[in-house]
Amino acid sequence: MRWLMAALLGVVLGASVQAASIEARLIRASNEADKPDEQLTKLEPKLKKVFGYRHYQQLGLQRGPLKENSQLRLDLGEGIVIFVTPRAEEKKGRMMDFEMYSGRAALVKSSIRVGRGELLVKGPDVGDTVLVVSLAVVE
Amino acid sequence: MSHNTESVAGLLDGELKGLRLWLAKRHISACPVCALEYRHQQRVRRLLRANPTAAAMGDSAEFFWSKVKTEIQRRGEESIEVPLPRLALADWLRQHQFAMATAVALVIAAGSAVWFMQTVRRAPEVTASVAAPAGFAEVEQLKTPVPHSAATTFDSEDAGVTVIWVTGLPWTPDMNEMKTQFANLDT
Repeated sequence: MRWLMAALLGVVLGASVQAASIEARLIRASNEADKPDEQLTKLEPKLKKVFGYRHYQQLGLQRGPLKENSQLRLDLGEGIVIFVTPRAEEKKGRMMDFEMYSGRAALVKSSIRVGRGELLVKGPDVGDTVLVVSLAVVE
Repeated sequence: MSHNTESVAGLLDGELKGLRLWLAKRHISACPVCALEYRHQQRVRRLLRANPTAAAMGDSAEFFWSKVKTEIQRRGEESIEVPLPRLALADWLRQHQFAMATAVALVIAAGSAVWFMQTVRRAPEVTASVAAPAGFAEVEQLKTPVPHSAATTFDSEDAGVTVIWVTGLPWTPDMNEMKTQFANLDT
């Protein structure tokens, strides 16, 4: 009985302190006539409104838990890597440092407060396409 | 109460009621002049009741009715306008007191309801002074280490997202070239 109670307590405590995670995607936007990517069903309307391209393809998806002051490295593929370091959780959202690299080149370094919505970062232009990184905090 | 022969007559005829009746009786019991008048009029009424005057007609009843019949037949189908009694407004109102009171109450209630509705509509809309929970990310610092590049941030309300728009990055024809170029780009 004691072991059962301890296990239940552990489950409850684990659920209560479950850290939020961050979800990052690398997306290629183009005007190719192709089938819509099912992985971007929810995000595609927003991407179209912002960037205007017809087709969006997910090249990479990474998730990781957010731990305060612990840097999280997410390799999205195609040489694009992002670093996320959560700082403090505030009422308005989570404060974090965000860096986006392509190879050795740091493309963007920023401090952001992420709320409920997504953050889209327009990356380099490759041919007729453009690379986009989307960032969202998942509770 | 002053000497008033009409009140004495009204008392004898049973027209007085309530307070007026009480006042009249009290006065007559206390006032010898009015008491004398009361007794006099009472005696006159008693005599009149005892000796009613007979109605006298010049014609006999049968002759009178035959004259009425003849007149009716003479007029035939002639239509006759019978003036109907008309009530003065004051009399009409007196007769329909309950209905008037109900109508006035309804009008007042309707007017109050209309006034209340207008007051509610005119009430200033209270807008929350507290900002709604932000769905957008807030970008506090933004740097673009790549030379000749720049970044700007904006909220796309239409899409409901925050955007960091980087410009000035080197263009490459394909992904392999991009990896090569950026791999050698030291920031």
